[in-house]
Amino acid sequence: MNMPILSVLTFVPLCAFFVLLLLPAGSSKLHRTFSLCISLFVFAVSCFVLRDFLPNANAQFAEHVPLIDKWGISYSVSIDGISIFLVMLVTFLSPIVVLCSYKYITKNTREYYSLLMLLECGMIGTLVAADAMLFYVFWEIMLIPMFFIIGMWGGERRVYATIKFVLFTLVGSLLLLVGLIYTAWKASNGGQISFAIADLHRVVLSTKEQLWLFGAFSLAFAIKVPMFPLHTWLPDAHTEAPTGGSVILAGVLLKMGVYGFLRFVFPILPEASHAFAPLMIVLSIIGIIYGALVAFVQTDIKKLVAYSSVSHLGYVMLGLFVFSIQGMQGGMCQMINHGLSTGALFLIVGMLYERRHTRLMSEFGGLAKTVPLLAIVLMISMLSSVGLPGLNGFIGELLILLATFSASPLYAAFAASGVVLGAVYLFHLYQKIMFGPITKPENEKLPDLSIREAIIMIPILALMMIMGLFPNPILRRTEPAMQKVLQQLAHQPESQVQSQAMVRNGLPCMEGQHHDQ
Amino acid sequence: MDYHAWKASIMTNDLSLLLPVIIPGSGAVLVFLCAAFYPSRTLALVLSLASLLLGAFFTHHWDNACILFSGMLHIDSFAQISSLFCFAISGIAALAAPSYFKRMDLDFGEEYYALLLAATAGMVVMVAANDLMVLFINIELVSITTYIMCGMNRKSQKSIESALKYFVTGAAASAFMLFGIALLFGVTGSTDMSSIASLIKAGSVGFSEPMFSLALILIAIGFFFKLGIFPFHAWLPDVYEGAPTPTTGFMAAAIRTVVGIAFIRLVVNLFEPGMTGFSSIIWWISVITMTIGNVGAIRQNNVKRMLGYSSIAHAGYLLIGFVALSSAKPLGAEAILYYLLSYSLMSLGIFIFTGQVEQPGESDLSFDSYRGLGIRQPLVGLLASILLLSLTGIPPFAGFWGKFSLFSAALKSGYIGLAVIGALNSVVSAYYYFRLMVNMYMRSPKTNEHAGTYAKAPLVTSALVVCSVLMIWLGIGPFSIGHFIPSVNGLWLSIGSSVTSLLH
Repeated sequence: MNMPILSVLTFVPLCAFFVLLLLPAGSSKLHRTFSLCISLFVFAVSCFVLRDFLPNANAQFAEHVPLIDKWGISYSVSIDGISIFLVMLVTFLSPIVVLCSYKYITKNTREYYSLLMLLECGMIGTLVAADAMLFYVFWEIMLIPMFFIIGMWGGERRVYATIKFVLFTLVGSLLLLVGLIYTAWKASNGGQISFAIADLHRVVLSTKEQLWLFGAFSLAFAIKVPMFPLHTWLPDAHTEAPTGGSVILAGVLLKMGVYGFLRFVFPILPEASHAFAPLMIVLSIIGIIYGALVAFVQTDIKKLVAYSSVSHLGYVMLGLFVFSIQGMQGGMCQMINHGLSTGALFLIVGMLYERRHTRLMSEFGGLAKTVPLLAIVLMISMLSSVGLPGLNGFIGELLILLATFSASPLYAAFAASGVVLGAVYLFHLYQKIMFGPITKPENEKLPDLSIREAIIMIPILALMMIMGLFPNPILRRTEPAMQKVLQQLAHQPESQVQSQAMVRNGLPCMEGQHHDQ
Repeated sequence: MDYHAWKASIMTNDLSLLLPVIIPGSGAVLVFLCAAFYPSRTLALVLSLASLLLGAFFTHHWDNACILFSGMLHIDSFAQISSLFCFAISGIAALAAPSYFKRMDLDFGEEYYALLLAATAGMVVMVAANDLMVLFINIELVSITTYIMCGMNRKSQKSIESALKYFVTGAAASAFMLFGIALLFGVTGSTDMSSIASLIKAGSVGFSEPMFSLALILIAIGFFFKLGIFPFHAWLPDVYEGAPTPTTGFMAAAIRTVVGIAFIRLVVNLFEPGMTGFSSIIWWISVITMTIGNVGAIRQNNVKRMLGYSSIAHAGYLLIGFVALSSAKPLGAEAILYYLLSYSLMSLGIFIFTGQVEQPGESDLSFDSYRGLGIRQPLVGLLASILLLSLTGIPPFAGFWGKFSLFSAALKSGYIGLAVIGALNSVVSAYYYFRLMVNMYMRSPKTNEHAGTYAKAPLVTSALVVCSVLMIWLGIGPFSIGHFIPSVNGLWLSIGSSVTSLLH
């Protein structure tokens, strides 16, 4: 590959960040048009990456430039089956986030859109980094724009929410830093230290070291996911964030935690992962049920969607920690689905808020008559979130539950109750705001979807259906990488991994796919 | 060494090597003289910038390691890179001062530059000093000039108090240090660090001798005073708060750096063989210092005091490197050096920024004075945010790489707990640094209160730009710009070679 396409993906938004800062402050139209163009361009470039992506376990489109020889840090990026669809999710959601902020963000638009661009740079960089310190740098870069987005354009308690978000994230990430450095010294074996992720994967650690490092790594990643006892920053951050911030947060940032588990925790700490798996599974299941129950009692729509994220990410972590190919693939699917469906739900909440300037469920009711299109859009997004067969949400949950069932029927029974609960709180929400008589006079004359809003929603809805009916293109591309992670978890050398992945590629590999096709 | 050999060792060649000291020193005299006949602040500024630039230029002679004045000065690349930084810091501090003096209506001005130049000359000798007496004399030179600079705001009681406090504690520190040096001379018969080091290596003196240990402890106490390390830190917030802000910046940046650098040279020469015994004490001092600094900073409402406490915390981080020095010697020294260089720039920058927000007659610069500043003045807000993020230790800025290298050195030598405590302390520090950003961007100014604004001044803003851009460039700069701003790889290479030259 001659063109440094991943660098283009990462640094075009960064350049846009600087350009936006140089633009005059007043012309918000210019700011948003410019950032829309940039994010569309980045999306187009990422489509080329997807087109040329080969479904094998290798890191592709690699670039490598040494940066600090002393510490073995280099600028090296590559993409593989774990990161490809998350990158696509970022580039797909970014233009949507820009579009959905047109009306909502009226103050300081230059700063807002420039921060969105910086955030996109951070997210893509985190996903494509093939060097642990580069990963860490981008990981922290993601924090800063989010801090400002929540704090400057958020709701009433925005300062509290954003400081909480920052402190939670920093506790995890600084311990992660210590863990990464420790691992790198161990991997160096007294020689030249190197932070290349591939080198870190070769480290030999004692069981005790693994357990401690698991604590350090998974604290950082579990806070980001967030897993059950560490989730308390999430409802605050989501409720206070502007719509665009919520969509990015739910759509992508949460997945960074899961990505961290796949990229660092499983390959570097296989023994500890096995040792901690029961705990992580139980916490995931608690998260699933707890998130769903708390979502059910919310009166604020946005908080409801926020808690549903806790529940959905619980599924993802459950899928990962049962250590089977279905579970991993299901987790991957569920991540993308959650990005789409929860992103869509947050967008709709934002649309309702723009119309009524409230998010309380009791303020709505009977909206299906006044805004029929919005009602349909919400219905589809909701069904996708619930996991209706035919829409994208189904395949991920099914794979995860299948994998869990084969590991332990008891776990599966508890986890499956989350599916029911998910349906309960979402249908409850739908019934409250869309059906029934119109109780508030303000609700009688609400504008339906505008063209801009339709443009935002249609691609997401289309993708939901496409992915629900044809999940195979995604599963086929992620499977080799997931197999590799599983092999690393089982301590097998890499050469065997590849041959096995190749054999599996030729076979119609999974039960789950046939249900839909 | 007999007199003739000594005389032969001073040749014109040596004097040209001393130009980086002679130029700022004579520059100081020149500025004083000019102030007497043509009192002009602009002239003084131009003269001092010129002598700093010229002095920095002549450090390029310092490429080749050599020993001057029968071992009193060790000119090596360690001294070269450190002195370059001294010049840079003094230059930036000089740029930032005039606007402050004018706005605060202080009747001093020219003297400030003269003192700054004298201090710079002292700093340059300090980083090269290999003799304890030379070191001591120059610490005194730097300190005494700073005492005066602290009290320059004669109308402010706080400034006078600051000068007096700094003077009294500084004098105590000097006394400790001098007594330690005297004891050491009594034990070893020498004040030359290299010859003492060879005596230690030969085993003729060592920690078994109580007098020797006592001497080193006294010297260390003197240094801890100057660096603001627990339990000798109590003076620091008051002094930092009361001093005119450009002076505070200069103290936080220059004195801290240069004392730290001199301490590195001292430690690798004298402490090293017995460090293992000391490192557990320093471990505790480091932990307590950073925790006291951070917890103290959280509770402050005055921004200058907050920065004062935060600089105590940074002294605690610095000690992580000294703990690591005991078993990972080059790595620890490199980490300390990089950390000092990056910290000096970011603290200088943040004090410059603070000084411009300060209003005349305002005795208490609170967080509220920053409300809305980032929105009203986006460029300055951006620069200040870069510095604050760097102080917190957020990548990709240099402050992060400083902490990264300290943690790295600590982990290499097996001090995992220390690295973890350092990391958790950084989280605490995030609270108060981010609090300033919250006020700058997320709170609207109170209506009844006159809003704090950054007073625009092109020179000061350019100084701020230099500090913030260097924060990025020293952190991740992929290529070198010109001769003086290296790429990050080049910087680490020169730090590496300078530490190698120090250890020989």
